[in-house]
Amino acid sequence: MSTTEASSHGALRMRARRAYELGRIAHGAKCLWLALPMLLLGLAVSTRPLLSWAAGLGLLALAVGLRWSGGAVGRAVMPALIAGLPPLVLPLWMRADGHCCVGGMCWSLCMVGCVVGGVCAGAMVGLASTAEREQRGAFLLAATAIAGLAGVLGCALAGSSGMAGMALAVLATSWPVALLARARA
Amino acid sequence: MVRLASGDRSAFEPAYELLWPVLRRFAQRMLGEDAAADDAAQSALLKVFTRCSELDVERDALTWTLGITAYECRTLRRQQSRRREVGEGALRSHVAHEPGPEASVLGRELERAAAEVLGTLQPVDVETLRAMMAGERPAVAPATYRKRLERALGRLRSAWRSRHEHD
Repeated sequence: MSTTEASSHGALRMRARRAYELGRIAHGAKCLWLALPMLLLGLAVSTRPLLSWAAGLGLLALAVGLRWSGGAVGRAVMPALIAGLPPLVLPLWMRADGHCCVGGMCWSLCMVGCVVGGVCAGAMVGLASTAEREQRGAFLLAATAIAGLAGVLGCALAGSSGMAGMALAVLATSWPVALLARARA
Repeated sequence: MVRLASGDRSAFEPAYELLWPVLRRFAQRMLGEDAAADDAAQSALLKVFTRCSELDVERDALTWTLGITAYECRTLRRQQSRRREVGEGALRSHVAHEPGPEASVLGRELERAAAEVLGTLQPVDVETLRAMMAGERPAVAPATYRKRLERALGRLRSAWRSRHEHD
């Protein structure tokens, strides 16, 4: 191979590498069709704009970044965003409906919505992880983080107790469901 | 390719080493001409890597890759035939309208002006333009030649404009 050919070969390799990375960025950005409306919905009803902005931007950055990087964490993004819909939407839907009293204790329905949404999200994430053959831990970790951030956007309405309840519910459900589903498989 | 599609960067080098000769051979077989085949294979390779993340892992990656290359070859062939048609049309109209004495004088004036402008260019640009007019291919890589030609034409254009813009 002559020097000119070798240098043009090297240039082509660099262009191919750049093309690949651009393709990966475009692939990462494709999740925005779901993540962006989630952020806008969270901001529209937010009573704590700073927290909602932080959670929303974190969600966008994490979703695009993980999809760009690829692998198990990249595959976790779309199922996690879908799993994040219940804790985002349920508190908004229930917020006007007063209180729920069970066994002498009362909670706002908003708070109940956060916990139920968190349980749904955790179960969905756990079930989605069963399709993953390798790096299931990384998948679960990434999916839990994304679903949790999406949940924070909705549960900011219910205050810190609502967010903590949602986060605990996601954590307490996703890993056991994943283990159970794996054992059954 | 499947590893690359899922984001495994370590698969880039092996995929590149494997794909480039295959795509080049395939394009050469489709187009025959070396330079055109190189162009088509290069743009196919770049498209393959850009769209790699969209690869359906259930389908055969090589078939997908060759499909993109075949499309690039067809596009290039279409462009070439269109260019040839335009060139032939211009030649025919030139033959049909033999220049009169006035047109000959104008033509000579134009040639003199062009020679003057060419004199202001760098020797490498003049050499590149002369090779293009003669239909020759200098012994450099096609991409380098294309870039040189683009640069030379750009300089020629700006030199022409600076001399004759207000005429």
